[in-house]
Amino acid sequence: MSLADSAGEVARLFERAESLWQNYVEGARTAIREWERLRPLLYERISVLKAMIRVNLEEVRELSLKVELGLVSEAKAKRRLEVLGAETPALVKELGELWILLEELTEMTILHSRRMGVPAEVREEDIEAKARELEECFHGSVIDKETYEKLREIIARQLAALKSLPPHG
Amino acid sequence: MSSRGVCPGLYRTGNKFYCKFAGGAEVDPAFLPCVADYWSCEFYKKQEEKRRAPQPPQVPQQAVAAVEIREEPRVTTELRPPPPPQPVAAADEVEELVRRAVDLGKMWEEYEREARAIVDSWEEVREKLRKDLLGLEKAIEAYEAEIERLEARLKLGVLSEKEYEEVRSRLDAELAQRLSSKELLERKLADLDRAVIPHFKRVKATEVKPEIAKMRIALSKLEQKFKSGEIPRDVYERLKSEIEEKIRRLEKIREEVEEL
Repeated sequence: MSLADSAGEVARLFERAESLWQNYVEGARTAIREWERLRPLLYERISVLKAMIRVNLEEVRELSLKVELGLVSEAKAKRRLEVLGAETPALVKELGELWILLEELTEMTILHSRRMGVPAEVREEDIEAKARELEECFHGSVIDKETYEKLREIIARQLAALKSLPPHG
Repeated sequence: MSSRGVCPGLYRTGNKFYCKFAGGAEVDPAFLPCVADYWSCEFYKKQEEKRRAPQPPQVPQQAVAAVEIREEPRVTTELRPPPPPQPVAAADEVEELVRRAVDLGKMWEEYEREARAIVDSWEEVREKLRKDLLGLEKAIEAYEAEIERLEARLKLGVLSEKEYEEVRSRLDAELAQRLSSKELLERKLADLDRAVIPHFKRVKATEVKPEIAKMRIALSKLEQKFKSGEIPRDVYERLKSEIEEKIRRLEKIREEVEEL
């Protein structure tokens, strides 16, 4: 093979890489666009679930105090506790599943945005704020330990992904 | 024709016959013309002559006779037992009234039971609606945050104008829907109060004042617990505002009941 042939082969490899890159960018942009559509719905549901769980937990904590203050009868408090006892774990489970999905998809978005050289959807301070909220939710029993640990891992990876890959020009 | 066949002066008492025109003397109609031929009887003829002769004073006599005749049915009427329909009708009326009063009592009991059940579940339903409202408020906040985030991404150049417009219009539509649901829910809450308060006034009017007093005692106990450090500030504030809102609602009902 002549030098010219070898140079031509290298050029074809670059062209192929460029084509693959273009395909990748196109695919990643499509995924991010779809994510932009889905994200608000997921984010909305998670926000509502967090609020519902907090309200239920507050009610559970306050029911005994309300009985003591004569605001609620013991029988009514018992009935309400039964309802809350059945409803709250289901909400906690749903929140855990959806929150993990949201963070996994956010991690992928960060990763591919950085690879493509476009700014990621989150900044470091956003991730740090999210980590603080996660701590609060765990200590407030809004999420269980297993979910908390999984989310901590994902959030740590998000932060690492954001720091490790410098954005392209 | 029988009146023409038998002398009008003939009358019977037991098995014996008597003649009115002969001064009440006993007669035997088998041997006298009392039957079929009485106009040939001398007593009858004399009676007839008396009747046919001009008798001006007879008018009052006839009137007396007429009165006598009229008196007969009256005497007969007096002898009959009193007609029963009127007292029977009055008794029926009383029974009917009693039955209706009993029915009304049952209806009231049923109404009171139902109304109390509604009033009792009023607070629970209100709480549920308030919880749903809170959920909607959180959803609205989430959409507002998403819109803010989307604008930031547009400024950073991550999204094209077209992509931004497409996502933005979807977010705006979702946000408008949540805002409308929130408004609807708030109206439902107001409607619920409007629907329940009249029943509350009817069945629990006398309980409003003691209920307010109960709430005030609860508020005072709550304050004591907070001051002694038994409960955290957030719990205290939440319950305080809940009790105060309840007192305000009860006070409003009390004022309306007193105006009636």
